[in-house]
Amino acid sequence: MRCPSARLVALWAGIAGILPPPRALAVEAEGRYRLVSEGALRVHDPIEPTRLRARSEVEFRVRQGFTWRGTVAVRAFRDWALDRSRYSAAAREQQGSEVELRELTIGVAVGPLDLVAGRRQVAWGALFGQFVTDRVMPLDLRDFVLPDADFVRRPLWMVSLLAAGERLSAEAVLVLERRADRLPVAGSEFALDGAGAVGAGEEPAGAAEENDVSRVALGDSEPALRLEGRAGGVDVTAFALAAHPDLDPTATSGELGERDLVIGSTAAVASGPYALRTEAVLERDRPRASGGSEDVVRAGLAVDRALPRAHIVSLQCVHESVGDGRTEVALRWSGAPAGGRLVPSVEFHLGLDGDWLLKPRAAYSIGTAWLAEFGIDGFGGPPDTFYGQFDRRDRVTLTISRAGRWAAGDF
Amino acid sequence: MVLACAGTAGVGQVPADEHSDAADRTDAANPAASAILVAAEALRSPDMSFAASIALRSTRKEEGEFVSTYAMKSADRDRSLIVGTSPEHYRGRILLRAGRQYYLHLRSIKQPLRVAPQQGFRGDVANADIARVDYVADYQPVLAGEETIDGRTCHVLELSARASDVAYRRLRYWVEKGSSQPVKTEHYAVSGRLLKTVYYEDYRRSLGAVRPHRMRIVDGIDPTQITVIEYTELREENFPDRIFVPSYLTRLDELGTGGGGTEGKAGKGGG
Repeated sequence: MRCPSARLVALWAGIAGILPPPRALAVEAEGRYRLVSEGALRVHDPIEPTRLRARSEVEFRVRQGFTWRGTVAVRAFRDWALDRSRYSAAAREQQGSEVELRELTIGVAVGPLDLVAGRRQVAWGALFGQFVTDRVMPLDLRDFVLPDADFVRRPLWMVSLLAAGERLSAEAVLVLERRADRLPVAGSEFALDGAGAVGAGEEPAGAAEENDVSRVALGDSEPALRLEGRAGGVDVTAFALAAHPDLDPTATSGELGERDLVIGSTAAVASGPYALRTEAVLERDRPRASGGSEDVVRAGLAVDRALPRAHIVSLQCVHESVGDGRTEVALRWSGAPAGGRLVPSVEFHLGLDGDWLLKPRAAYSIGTAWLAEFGIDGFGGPPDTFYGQFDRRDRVTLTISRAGRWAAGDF
Repeated sequence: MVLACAGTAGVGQVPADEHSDAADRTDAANPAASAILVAAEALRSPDMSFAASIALRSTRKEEGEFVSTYAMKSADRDRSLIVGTSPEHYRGRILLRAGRQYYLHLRSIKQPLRVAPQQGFRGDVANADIARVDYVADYQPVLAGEETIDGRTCHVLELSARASDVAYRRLRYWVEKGSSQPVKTEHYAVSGRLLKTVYYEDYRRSLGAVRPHRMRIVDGIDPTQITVIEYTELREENFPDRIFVPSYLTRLDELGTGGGGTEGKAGKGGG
């Protein structure tokens, strides 16, 4: 029983033993796929593509009414841009290809209770960009500017119980797996801290650290609890996590320290064309890279304004007190001026350090299965700032995807 | 007394079960206008647990027609779910209406976001349009007269919002005399500008009454921009209460396209 997967199978078997068995018939099933081709060129160096990637996502779901369900999802990609690039061998090895189990769950629901166990993602929070459980739900930061949070959020083995009530809900999560943030290796596309300055074909100083370690152990588990309530048209949540500090991507290979407490709350209200969302999180004793620890506060406020014809403008301001502190204002606009087939959007992030990111996008639906998306990632600012460090890495992107499904039963 | 009020309004083909709450929903301050509204809403917004398929067709002169489809699950007048089923990249997009609160779940963020009722769902369709807001609960009616539209004699109701958190501050509602069938509504912004006109069409029998199965939405600024919402396969179904709770939306997405199966035929209402 040392194998984590065997433990989870045993756990599922135990759960299945105490709950009513699914009815033999009326099981529905669905398979879905998505094939994606992604290309990107760096504006300052257009000869060399920074991405020539083919990606496939396959998922399979079964369910019996609203009671039992099971899911499995796998993602795989291959990036040919690295084969003849200036990237280091370590970068090619880490980012050239991947096959990952993104989801493997079994769930059962009775009345207001819903229990799910397996490998999956959890997101709590109210603001765009970074949700609070990203503290315990590590990110794959190799793809720094990809738009979808679920692409970069790494799924973990966990058990989660939700009691869903009309006025009050409670969710308890036990994360069984320790897995560090997956950082880009030095010399790769969006390596942090100037490591991208490595020249063509040159190996960065020191080999890439192994930063993809996973460990599943009940003793290392991280419990989390969230309460959600509604009163007078206002949604309020409060949550607490006991999470291991996670600054060092190699930390999982060593001994884990004490768990740190992360507490927070969100509130949201909407009226007419406006929606207001707020979030505040306090993380106690987060380790500093330079040694010691500090309490970190992250707080933000967002306002959405709906305009005619599906246009929406959002303004979001977030402050995080790490180190000297960082405040960022983000403005988003999206709309469907041509009725739904073409959906343009623009995102502009401005840091108070003078750095910025501009991300215009245009997505176009072709039939019911195809989607084409064109975009630009433009960076600016002093080189020692968050976005400014990528100032010479502006790029244009083109993504074409095809999706489809197969279903059995009443799915 | 219920039938008397309803008779004044010309309730027509409202299912018997839906008469039972008409007295509770009739506004004592303006009983005649209120009874007309209650009778029309009983046809437009069934008070029962049901499922339906929705096709949303946007027509633009620049690029022709664009169709997206959704599965609808409605527990009562207060709670409904709209789940994206096509195009393929709309799957996992779920809109929940719980009373006057709206939540949008996107697979890309795996978290329900509180959204505004007036926020655009697709094209000219706002969240409140597709989720079938209950006008009786949200608006104060006043009888403004009678008009004839396409040979149909209609009551004209002026509806003003009872609270500030509804999608539209003011509506004008045309209801056919005798049948109580909704004919059209005009939706106005706070400024008084006409945002859109909605026509209720394709009356057929479903869920125990003759109801509109098509909403044609004409843009208030550019009348050539038209969006049509078509409801098909209306059927009574029971759903567990938990699927209408915002924190359950991510798990509902895990159930797959359409957000779950069938728990059984609902126990009330006609078929």
